[in-house]
Amino acid sequence: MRHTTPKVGQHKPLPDLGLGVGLRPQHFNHVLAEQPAVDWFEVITENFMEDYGWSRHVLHNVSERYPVVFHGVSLSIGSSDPLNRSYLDGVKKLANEVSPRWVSDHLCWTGTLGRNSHDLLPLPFTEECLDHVAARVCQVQDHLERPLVLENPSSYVQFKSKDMTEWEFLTALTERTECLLLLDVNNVYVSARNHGFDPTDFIDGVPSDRIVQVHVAGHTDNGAHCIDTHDSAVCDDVWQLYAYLCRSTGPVSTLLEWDANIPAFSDLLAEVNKASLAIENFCEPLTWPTTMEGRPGEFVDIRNDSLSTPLEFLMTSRR
Amino acid sequence: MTSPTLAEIQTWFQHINTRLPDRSGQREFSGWEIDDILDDSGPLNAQHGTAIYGNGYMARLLGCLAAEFPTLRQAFSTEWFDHVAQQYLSRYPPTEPSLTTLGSRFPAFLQEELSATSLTADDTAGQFIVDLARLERAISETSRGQGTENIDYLAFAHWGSIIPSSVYLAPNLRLLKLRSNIVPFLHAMSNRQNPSFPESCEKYVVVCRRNFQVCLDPVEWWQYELLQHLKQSPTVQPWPDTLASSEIAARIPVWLLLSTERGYILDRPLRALQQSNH
Repeated sequence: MRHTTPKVGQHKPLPDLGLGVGLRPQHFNHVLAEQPAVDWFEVITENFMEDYGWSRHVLHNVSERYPVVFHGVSLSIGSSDPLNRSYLDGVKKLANEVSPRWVSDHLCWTGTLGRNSHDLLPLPFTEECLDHVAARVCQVQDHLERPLVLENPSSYVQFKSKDMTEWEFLTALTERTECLLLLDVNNVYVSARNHGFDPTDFIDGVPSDRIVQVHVAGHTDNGAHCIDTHDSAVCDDVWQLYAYLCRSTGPVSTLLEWDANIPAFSDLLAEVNKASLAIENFCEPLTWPTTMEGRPGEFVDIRNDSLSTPLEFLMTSRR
Repeated sequence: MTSPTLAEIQTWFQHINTRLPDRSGQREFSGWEIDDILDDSGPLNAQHGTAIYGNGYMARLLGCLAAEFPTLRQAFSTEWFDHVAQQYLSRYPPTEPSLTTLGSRFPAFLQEELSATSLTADDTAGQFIVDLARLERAISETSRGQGTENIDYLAFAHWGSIIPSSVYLAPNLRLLKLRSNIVPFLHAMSNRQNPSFPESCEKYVVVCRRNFQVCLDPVEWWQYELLQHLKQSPTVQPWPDTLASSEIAARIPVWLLLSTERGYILDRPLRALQQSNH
C-alpha cells in the first residue's frame, strides 16, 4: 500500500488511488474473507455486465470497501463498425450500479463486419483513423456521461499507412476529445522491443497531465520479440520505465495486471508493492539497450509462441 | 497502390487472422499481401507479427470454450474437443462483446454434427456427448443468470396451503431431460475420479442456484413436466393433460411449496419481487 502526496501545484483530473491489482475470480473468496490491504481494484467490465451471480455479488461487496475502476476490453473504439449502443448501455448501467472511479478501455479495435475477435487489434496511426476515433470517443463520453480513459495496447505489427507515431496519435486524441490516458508501461516496452523504438520517446511524447492510471505487467521475452502475456512478475526493465514515467506524472494510480498462471493474492500484493521501491531506486541512465532492436535469442517456432491477451480467467466465475 | 481506408485495412486484417470468409457481402475482400499493408522494418517481422494475432485468435477462444465445457473436454480427449471446437468457432465466430454467449450454440452444433454422421436412436455415445454439453452450458447459464438469492422468502409465507393462480420460474433455472445418468458422472469427473460412461436411461434435472452455488437437482418426470408447463405459462391451472391423474394432482401443491424453498419458482416476476424487497 502506498501513501502518496500529490506534487505541489500538480492538478490531476482524477485522484491517485495508490497501488491496486485486478480483481480475479481466483481471489474472490480471499478478498471477501480477508479484506486484504490493497488500495484499490480494477475489474474487467465485461466480466460483470452480464453476470448476475457470484461475480456480481462479489463486485458489490468489494465496491463497498475499496475503490473500484472499470477496465473494458470490448469497446472497440477504433472499429469501422458502428459503436455498439447496447454494449454502451450495459457499461453505463453497471457503472450507475457500482460507481467506479473511472471507466477505461483500449485504443484498439476488436473486430469488424459484426465479428468480435476478443483481441486488442492495432490501429493504423493515420489522420483518417484519428478523425474516426476522436469522433467516437466524444460519442462514448457523451453516452457514458463521464470521461473515457484509453490505454495503449501492446502490438505485434505496424501498418504502412502511418501519418504519426502512436504517442503522437494519443496526444492528438487527448487534445481533441479531452479523454484521459491509462499508460501501460509494459505495453510500451513490448511494442518498443517489437518495433524497434526507444520506449522513453513514447513516455516523453504523451501528455503526462492526462495520465490518470498506469498498468504494469509481466511479459514473455522470446529474444527477438516480446509477447504481452500477463503471466509473470514485472521485469526490471519495465520497473525502470515505470519509475522514469513517474518522474513526470508524480504519484499515479498504478495497477498490476496478472491474468494467466495467477499466483496467490499475497504474491500479487508483494509484486505491486515493488512499485514504490522502483521509484526510490531509480537512477539514470536507463540500463536497457537504447536501440531496443530485439535481443539475441533462440529461434522460436511461432506455433509455440505464448498467448497474448489471455482470456480464460474471464470464464471462471463460478463459486 | 492507393492508401487503403481504415475499413479496408480492418477487413483485410480480420480475414488473414481469422481465416474466415466475409459472409456479410458488405465489403469485397481484397487480394493484398502482408507486405502491401504491413511495415516490415522492425525487429519483429510482419509475417511473424501477423501469426501472433492469428494463432492467438483461435487459441484464446478454444481456451474459453474449454473453460465452459471442462468435463466434456476431459472425458473425450483434448484433441477431439479442440477439433470440434475449432469447427464450431469457424461456423459461429464470436460476434458479441461478452464471452458469455460464445458457447451458447455448442450443444446444438454437436447435435447437428453427430446427427449428420453417426447419431441414431441407439447411438448412446453421441447422445451422451450432446447431453453433457447441454448440462455444462446450463450450469454456465445458471451460474451467471438472475437468481433468487436476494429474495426474502418470508414473502411466500402467505401461501399457506393455497396455491397462487400464477407462479414464475426463477430466470436462471434450466430444465433438462437427459438420456443417461450424467450428473453422478460429472460430479465424479469434477472430483478427479475416472468414472465409466453411464448407461442409457431417462433422467430429469433441474439446474438452479442457491446461495450462489449451482445445484443439479434430480426430479421426477411429472415435476419436470410441471416446471416445463410453468416455463411456457405462469398459470398454474389447468394442469397439462399429462399431469391430470388424481394421484399426481394431489402431490402438486406440496411440491410447489417445496419448489419455492429450493429457489425454482416465485409468486411474481423477479423484477417485481426485487422492487418490493427494496
